[in-house]
Amino acid sequence: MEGAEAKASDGTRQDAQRHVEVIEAFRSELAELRKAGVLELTAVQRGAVEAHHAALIARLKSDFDIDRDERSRQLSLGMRVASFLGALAFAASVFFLFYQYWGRLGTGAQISILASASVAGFLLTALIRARDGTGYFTKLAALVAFSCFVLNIAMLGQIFNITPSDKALLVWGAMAFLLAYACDLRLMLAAGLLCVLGFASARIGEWSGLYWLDFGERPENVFPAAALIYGVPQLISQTRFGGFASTYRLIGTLALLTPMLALSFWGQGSYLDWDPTTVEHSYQVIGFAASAAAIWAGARWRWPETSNAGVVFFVIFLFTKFYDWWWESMPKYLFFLLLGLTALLALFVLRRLRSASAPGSGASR
Amino acid sequence: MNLRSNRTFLIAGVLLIIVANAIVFLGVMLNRQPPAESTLMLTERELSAPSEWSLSKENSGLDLRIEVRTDTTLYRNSNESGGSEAVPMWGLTPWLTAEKLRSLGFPLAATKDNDADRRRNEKLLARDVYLVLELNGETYQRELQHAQEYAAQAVQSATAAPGDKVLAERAKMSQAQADAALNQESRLFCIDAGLDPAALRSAYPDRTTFAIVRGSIRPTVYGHAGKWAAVGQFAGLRIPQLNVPLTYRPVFGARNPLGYGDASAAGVAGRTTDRKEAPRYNVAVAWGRRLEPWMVSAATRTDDRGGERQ
Repeated sequence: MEGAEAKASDGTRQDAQRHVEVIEAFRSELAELRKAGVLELTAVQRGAVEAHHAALIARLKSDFDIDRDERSRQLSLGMRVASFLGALAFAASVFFLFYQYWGRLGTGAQISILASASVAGFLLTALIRARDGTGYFTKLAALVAFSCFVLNIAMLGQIFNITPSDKALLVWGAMAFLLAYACDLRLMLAAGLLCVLGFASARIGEWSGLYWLDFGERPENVFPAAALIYGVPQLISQTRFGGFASTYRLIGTLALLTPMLALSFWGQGSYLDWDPTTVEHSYQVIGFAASAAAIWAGARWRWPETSNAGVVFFVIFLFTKFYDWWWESMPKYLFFLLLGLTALLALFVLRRLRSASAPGSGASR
Repeated sequence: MNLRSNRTFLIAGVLLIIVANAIVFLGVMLNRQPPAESTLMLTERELSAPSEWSLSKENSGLDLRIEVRTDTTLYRNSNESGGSEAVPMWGLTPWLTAEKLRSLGFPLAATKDNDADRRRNEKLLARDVYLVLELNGETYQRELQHAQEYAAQAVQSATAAPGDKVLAERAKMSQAQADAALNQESRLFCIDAGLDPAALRSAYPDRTTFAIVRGSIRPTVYGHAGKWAAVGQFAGLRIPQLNVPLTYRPVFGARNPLGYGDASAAGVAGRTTDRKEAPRYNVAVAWGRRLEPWMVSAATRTDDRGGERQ
């Protein structure tokens, strides 16, 4: 028991929260078993268990600021939303504040303010991180610090008329990763991954002769980096950071499936030297297959973000095809009836899959 | 490296900010190391300020747009002579022929009547190349001469048929175009492109007339009478705008920008600033070793002629 309690501070906040939820579930089930007359602990046993759980929850609460009950969880969700929206608002405020006044400042003042804001934002984040047990205020400060840094480099480029370079994405990505791993922030990790995706795609585009800012005109540029990002959790363990593995997989899945969706109706944008209609049909098939593979992989290895993304894109691909085939030729009521029936079929299929998968049939990675 | 440690986190972050800013400043210093690669004396014709109504009151910065034109004389000549040769559409750059595009690295297919080749060429995207900008040189003089000759012919035709309103209108428009070519339109033309800036500078050594800059060229396929041909199009400069430092703002009218609502109330919304009423200025723009421009000097000009070479 002491060993278990001593390990309470290990792991992540998500692990701690999950542990508390397991304890609550255990308590509820124990009460049900007692009511049903199946199991009755002795007073000594009950006291020992309750004392152990109370100490464990107190330790977890102290170390990770977790939610003790459903009400706390709902309030925490509200705090997460407020933190995210507040962070976006502060970041936007920083941008607009600078744009409002920068034209009235000399070059020296502009440079000083940009660099100082960058450093000050970062120092503030470090200060808040050291004192904030919840992480919500740290997230807010980190996003502001990141915005100040992005503004710092972007505005210097504008002030000195510097040629736009994809290397800026590397630098911004480095800052995002630093904030993510130091402050346990998935939002910053996502920002860093998007920067890396952009840089890698731009480089691949440049190697095939594009100007780097035009990398979006060839969506296939994204595929190599997306596949790499998806595989990172398999190569480098992310267990110390709550939710990071699923963030890598989610960004990787979205980055793989979104270009496929785009190319499924924009064949002209492909590197393939085929008739655009052939390209579009090919990517429709590939998109269906990739979405189905994502659903399978997510179910197999218990990666909910992968399977959910797979389901969303599968549905989008399917409904896009339905639209192509039937929107013009079918009465609208019949078209939507067909969509509804398809959704019903999907429900039956997924329910069947759920029943077929036995408990513990795949290890979560 | 233990990022959870506050000290490590602080050092890593501050170092990253310092290094990033240092790299930027080093690049600027390298670019502005004398001597400049080229220095052109531009006027309001080549560096246009944004229209009053389009300025956002949320952005107090001011950027001047570098107005670059391309040679359209070949197009005009072919059209006006009624030649049967296929000519490119307006907006394309006639000197960017298929051979030139291939020399710039575009993998053009041999486009004849082959749909697959045409499709391959149509899919080609813009490439980053080095461009030669000529200020108030032969290309501008040729454009000006052509506009003036065309206006003279149109006036002659209208005079010969005084009742013809179409000819009269054409004469009026062509005179306005000739006047614009003389006094208002940019004298900065994109006249050549290449992959080696040193080779281009050897071909165009005058650093006060020719600037070597970075920009994009895009191939386009056009068709005529069932045949297809590829020609290039100037697709823009890599740095199309020039930031105005605070020191020079008074030259361009250091006014607070109006938002669209205020511009509507003032009666200037939706109206392009009349070139004749716009401020007149001379701006020395230098391009450095990294071919990035900066404003060396700016001064108001009060003469009536729009910086035309005497």
